[in-house]
Order: sequence, then C-alpha cells, then structure tokens
Amino acid sequence: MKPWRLSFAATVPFAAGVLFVWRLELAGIDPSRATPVIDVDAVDRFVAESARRSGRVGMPAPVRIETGIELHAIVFPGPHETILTGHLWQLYPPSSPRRLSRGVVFPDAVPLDDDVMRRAWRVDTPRGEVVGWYFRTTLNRRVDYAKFPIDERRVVLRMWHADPTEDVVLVPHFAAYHAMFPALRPGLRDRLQVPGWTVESSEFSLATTERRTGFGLPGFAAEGEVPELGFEVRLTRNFTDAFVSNLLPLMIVAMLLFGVLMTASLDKDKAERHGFTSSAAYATSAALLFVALVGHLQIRQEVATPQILYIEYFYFVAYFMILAVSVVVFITATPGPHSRFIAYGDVLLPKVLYWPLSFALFFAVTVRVFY
Amino acid sequence: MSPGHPRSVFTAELLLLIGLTIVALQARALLRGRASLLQAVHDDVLAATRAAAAELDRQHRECMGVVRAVAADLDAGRLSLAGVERRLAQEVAEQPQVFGLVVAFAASDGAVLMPANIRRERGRVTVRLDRGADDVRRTDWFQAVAAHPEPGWLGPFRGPFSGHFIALYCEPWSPPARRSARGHVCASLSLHDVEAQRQSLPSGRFGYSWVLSHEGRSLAHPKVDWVRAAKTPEQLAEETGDGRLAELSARIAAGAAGTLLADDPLTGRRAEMIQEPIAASGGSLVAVILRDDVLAAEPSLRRLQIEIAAAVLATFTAVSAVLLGGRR
Repeated sequence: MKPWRLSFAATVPFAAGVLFVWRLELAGIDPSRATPVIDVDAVDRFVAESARRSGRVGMPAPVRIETGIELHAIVFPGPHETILTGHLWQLYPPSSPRRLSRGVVFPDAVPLDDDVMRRAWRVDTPRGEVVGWYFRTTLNRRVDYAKFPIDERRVVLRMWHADPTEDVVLVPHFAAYHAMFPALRPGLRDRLQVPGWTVESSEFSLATTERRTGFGLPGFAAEGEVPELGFEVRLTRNFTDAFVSNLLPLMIVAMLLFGVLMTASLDKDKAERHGFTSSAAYATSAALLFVALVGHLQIRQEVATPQILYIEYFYFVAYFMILAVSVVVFITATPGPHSRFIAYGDVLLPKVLYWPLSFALFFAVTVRVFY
Repeated sequence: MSPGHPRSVFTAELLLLIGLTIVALQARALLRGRASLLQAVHDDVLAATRAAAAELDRQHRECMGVVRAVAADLDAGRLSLAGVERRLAQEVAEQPQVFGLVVAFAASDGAVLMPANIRRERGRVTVRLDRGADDVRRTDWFQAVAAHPEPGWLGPFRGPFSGHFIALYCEPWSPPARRSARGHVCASLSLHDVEAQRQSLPSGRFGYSWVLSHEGRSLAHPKVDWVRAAKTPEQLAEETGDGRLAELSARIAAGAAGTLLADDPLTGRRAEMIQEPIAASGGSLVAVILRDDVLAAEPSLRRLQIEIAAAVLATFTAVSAVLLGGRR
C-alpha cells in the first residue's frame, strides 16, 4: 500500500472514533444529582425515605405546600451565572397553619438590583389559597465545564419556603401541569429559546439539604436533613456553533502546520524549490503557536473555571504537534547523518505519521474525558 | 516494501484474534445490557398499564351499572319521574367517580325534560339541563345520544354546563304507559379525572400514557389539543407519515392487547407502545416508552460503546504497527 494511502487509512478510523464518541455524548443524558419526581407517589417515596434517614419516623409530617413554576426566559450572562424570569405560585391548603408566611426563597440566588419577586395574584380556590409571583432572579452556581464544548447544562432552581423556621416541604404542583413528561418541557413557556443552546427537557426534582442551625428556636423540628424542591432544565450546547467557533480555527492551524512539515526536505534542491529554511519554518510555527494561544486564552476568558476543558486537550495536542514539527525541522536542517526515521523517503515518516498521530491523540483525550 | 516477516504476521494475527475477541465480548455485553434494560422497563410499564387499564375498566363498569339500574327501574315503572332527582343523587353518592348522571325524556307536550346531577368544584348539584339559556337539543352530546338508539359509550364532548370534557355512557328507556316514547339515561366520566389518572401512571420519565375511546378518539393525552380535536391514531398516522400507528385502532377494534414499535407522534422519536384494552368501554390505554431516551440515560451503556470503539482502534493500531514493523 502507498504510504499516503496508509496514512489516510490510519487517520480515518481515529477521526471516526472521535465523531462516534461525540455522537454518543450528544445523544446521552447525564443523570441528575437530585431525584426526579414526576408524580405524587415519587414525592411520597422521597419524603418517607428522607424521614427515615433523618430519624423523623413517627414525628408529625411536615406541611406540604404545592409549588408550580413557569419559566419565561433563561440567560447566561457569565460562565457560572444564570438569570431566570417567570411566574411561580403556591397552593396553601386550608389545613396549613394560618400564620404560615407566603413565599419562596432561592438559596442559589445572588440578589442583583434588577431582581424582583412581585406578587402577581392571590385567589381562593376550593383546594386552598393560590398565591402567585412574577420573579427575576440571578443564580450563581458552579457549572461543570469539563466536557466543553460537547456538554450539557442543567439549570437548577432550588426552592425553600420563605420561613425557614416552619416545618414545610415544597412539592411540585402536579395538577397545574397537563403532563410531567420531561420531554414535553413542563414549566417552560412555549417556544422558549436560549441562544447557543437547545432546551431538551425540564422536570421537578427533590434533594435533601442539611439545615445546620435551629434559627434561634428551641426544639426546632426542621433541623437536620430536609427535602428541598428543585426545578431542572436540561440544555445541550448547539454543536455547530461550538464546532465552528472553537475547533475549526484549530483545524486550520493543524493544516497549516502540516504544510510547514511538508516543505521539510533533506534534498537541498527540493528544499530550495519550496523555500524551506529552518528559520522560515520556525517563524511560521511560532505564528501558528501564537494563533493557537490567542484562541486558547479566549476560551479561558470565556469559561473561567479551574478545570481543564475538553477543548483544551485539542490545544495541548496542537502545541505538542507544533513542538514536534519544530524538532523535525531542526533535525532536518542539521547536517547528517540522519536517523532512519528522518532519512527514510526524505522525511516521509514524520509526514505520513502527522495526521494519524494527531487524530490518535484526539481520540485518546476524547475517550479520557467522556469515558 | 517487502512482505511481512512470518513472525510479525503471526503476532499480528494473534493480536487481531485477541482484539476481536475482546470486541465481541464487549459487543455481546452491550447488546445484553440494552436488551435487559429495555425488557425491565417494558415489564414495569406493562404491569402498571395492565393495573391502570383494569382500574379504568372498573370505573367504566360501575358507570354502566348505575345507568342500567336507573334505566331498568324507569323502564319497569319502579321509578317515577317525580323521584328521579332523588334517585340520581342517591346513585352518584355511592359512585363518586361518576361525573354526571342525567335522565332525558320527552314530555307529553313534546318538550325534553332533563334532570341531572353533576359534580362541581364544591360538591354536587342537581340541575335541569333543559332550563338553561341554550337549547340543550343543539348540543353535540345530545345530538349524539339521540342518534344512537343502542346502549354505548360516546364522546369526547365538552359538557356545556360543567365545561369539562366528558365521555358518556347512555341507555334508552321507555315509560310503561308510552312505549312509543323514548328517553335516555346517561352517565359521564370526566376526562379531567381520566387525565389525572393518566398522569399518575408510572410510565417513567421517558414515556407517557394515552387513552383512546372505542372509536379510536383521544380521550387523554399529554397534548391537550389532540384531546380537544379527538384525534385518532389514523389521523396521526397520516400527519406523521408513520402508518404503523393505525395498528392501535386495529387492536381497539379487536379488543386486543399488544406492543407496537413506531415513531412517537408527539416527539417523533422511536417508541414502544404498550396497549391494553379497557373492555367495558371498548377503548384502550396505551403506554408510550421512548426507547432511545431510556438507553441514552444509562451511562454504563455509553461507556461500553466507548470501550468497544477504543478496543477496535487499539487492535487496529497494534496490528498495523506489528505488520509495518515487520516489513523490511
């Protein structure tokens, strides 16, 4: 088989492997950290299990306040910030204590000037008093960017009752939704769009949180582990946007670097024809390194996180290849005798190995991140 | 290039054999894992769907029993027209799932009289449907009742008094003194109640339930517009271009249970539809499971697929390296 055909045949499976893992990841659904609840039975099971774990069996059951939500907008102003707007309501049954205050707090919210929680309606119904609010809140919660840009994002709005001293459990207001099937996106307004993202599903979830204080009250019942209500929206990053803005420039850098490598030759005539000199090759490599560094820094500024992002591994591979090409150029420009690796077919082996090695490394980091 | 050294070829063949064996074992584990996961979900949903269909069947039968008892007593003259309202209240008190109960009969002057007992938010009320502002004879439900002389289920209709979507069971009767005249006793189930039951079914996070009438019309479905339009599987099959959906109607006609693999008309994704008949009404309860979502949510299957891809490429690389290294 001709060396270039062999090189192509070795590259394609690794490229296909990378695409295969991307496809798996894009189609996959990462498990939620909380327990999704889609019906009353699931809530009952969770509350009972929570009571058992926290040793509350036999104690009076907490008051359940049904809580519903409709999100109108989701905006990501920063890498770890989320702005949410929408309506939220609660149903206070006639059996709930009369002095029980009305309202919800978002423990992850960082109050900003534009944030509001405005009462929008209050209606008496046969099942109790329904109080609704319009809200705008800014959440600050660390986002996992390890898989960026082939990642998904879960926006979780955690909710606590306004009065932490009351033994209250917020539960989803199932009756307010026609279907709790997550793919139908209950709790999101129709045609909700988030630029750069695809809204996949939404659902309510329950998790436990530990109340570490008695809020100054003696014999406070809600101290310890208590259930907390969450509303989760799952979004996946638009692959085309992410690919074009992040990986395409890097691929062009890799191609130009391959061009530099292709000019390397031990044959002086051939080298002259291509204008190959080691200084020109170093200058081009340095320019490509600069382009890659700028792109890398831009991503780092965009995604401020202590983690190493998946996309960064591509930059690391690019840096390695720039270094490797520079070493090959250096050896080529050095007077012989040269090793068989360089001398064989006039620097043929480094050239035919360039793409298979690059894609093998891409595949290896892809498996490392997504496995 | 010269042909490979026999020892290299042997090593490459050995590596290939080991690699392919590992890949085959992983592929078998993947296929088994997928099959067992889908089977477990299928079994859970099938059991829940059977139980839910049996519960709906019980409610339908009780509804029919109330209608038959009242119609038989009216027919035999054991229940006078003066005692109808009290009897209706008595029957619905015993059968709380009955949403509305109405007796329709033609008076001697040609007017249609309709005492009814209907559930409201704060309890039950006795009303005379014939005394409303609108002529009840123009309503969809009344015209459908008048057009169907045989006992049976009708609907869905929007109840003009309650605003609820309802499914009706009606039986005709004739007063002993005027056998030529014909009245009807009808009981209704609220589709809001059916919808609440549908929502409580454990179809899982990756599916939903769908209730169809004996004519194949949607009575409860997550897409409320389809209930309003009483869409049938045939209509949806035509809209989506997936003719397999029509099998749901065929099974309804045969009163059969079964499983269908088709594209979900709601999400367009590949789905398994488990159908259980509701014998009393002749309708069906269908549980829809989105198979791809079930599989996508299982991280171990994803990892196994990555392992297979890595094993294939590692084998390929190792075999190529040995073969190329052996050539001189």
